[in-house]
Amino acid sequence: MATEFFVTKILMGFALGLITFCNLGNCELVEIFGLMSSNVTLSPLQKMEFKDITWKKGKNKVAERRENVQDSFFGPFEKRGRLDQSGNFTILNLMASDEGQYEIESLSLTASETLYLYVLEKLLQPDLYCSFDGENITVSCNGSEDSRFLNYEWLFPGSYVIMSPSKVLLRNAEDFQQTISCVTRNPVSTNESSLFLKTCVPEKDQTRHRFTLIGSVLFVAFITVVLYRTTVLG
Amino acid sequence: MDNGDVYNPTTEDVPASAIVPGRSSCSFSLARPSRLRAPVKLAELVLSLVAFICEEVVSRCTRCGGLYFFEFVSCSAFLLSLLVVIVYCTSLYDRVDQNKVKKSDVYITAITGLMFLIASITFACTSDGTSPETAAVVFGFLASTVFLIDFGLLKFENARKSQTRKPEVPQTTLTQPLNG
Repeated sequence: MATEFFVTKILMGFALGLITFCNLGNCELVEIFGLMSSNVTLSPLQKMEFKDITWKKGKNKVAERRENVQDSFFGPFEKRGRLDQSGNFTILNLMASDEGQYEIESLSLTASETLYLYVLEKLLQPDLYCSFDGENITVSCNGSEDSRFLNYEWLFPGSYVIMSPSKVLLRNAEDFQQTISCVTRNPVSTNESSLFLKTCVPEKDQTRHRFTLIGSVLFVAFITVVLYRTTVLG
Repeated sequence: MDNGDVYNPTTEDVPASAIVPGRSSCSFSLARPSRLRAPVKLAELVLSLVAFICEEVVSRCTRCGGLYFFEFVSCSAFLLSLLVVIVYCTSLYDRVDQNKVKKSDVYITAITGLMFLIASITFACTSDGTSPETAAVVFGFLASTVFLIDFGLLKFENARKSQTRKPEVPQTTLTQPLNG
């Protein structure tokens, strides 16, 4: 699982690096983030009125506008695509498969333009887990299955040790009568969960004993005997 | 035996109640240790009892060290205050060495006040902030303040007594022969 995650991460990094440096000819890369099941508009970098424009996803043509001809949409965009005068390509009801590199070709442009569309899911409330080892509390936050562009932020009035971005450790010196919050963010959404720390400590570990009462009674009895000996017998 | 009526009354034991009216073994008086310190002693007793009861209401703790220390100190403070009040306010006081009782009172009051203060600070720092804990801490601080005020009054009274006693015993009277 961890190996798979790292391989994916390396591949993602490689792909991003490739796109960033844009070794695919004359192109400029723009990253666009779209929210799953919502609409996103991909816009040409150059603002002008296009008489002709072709949008391609990879090598496949997905939308086309020609002068005096009705706009054409292809493949999965047939019913979900929209084009306007400025060449903006709007995709309705985004799907995960819409993610990829988009390229614009037009006679009005000297070079093609490239955009990369990421389709991200809306973040749900992160799951917060905690464990108590008798002294410290470890809190883990699970934001989303899709860890791309996912950031964690911790909100806590006291101090804590960051074990990993999604895991923190709270020492026993901290007041467990407080709440800790985990905020998850990706470029299209944000969400937050809170946890009352005292719930992390099992009830059996919180139950007090009253052995000290015996100690104090014995202590006072001892003092009384000493005082009796000094003030009455002495 | 005709003279029995004459001698008998003078040879009978005089009951303690006859010497100090209203101070039998079952009687209770607030005349001691002094008019000022008697209510202070009662305040110590009540405040330490309330602090102890509030602390006993607490059923759970995450950092229990402070709670246990406070429990020990408040319980001991209450029992010692009760002991001191019983000794001062009953006829028991007439049967004990009063100077030693006063001396013990100084130590008990000072040490209890100091320990109560430390216990209250420790408990305030380690408590979970629930209502009974907060109440216990507040009464703990009040009790420790009263104990320390009592200690101050004790020292003040002792200092005043030693000042007023000095001129009463001039050295010359000791050196003079009794038959002189």
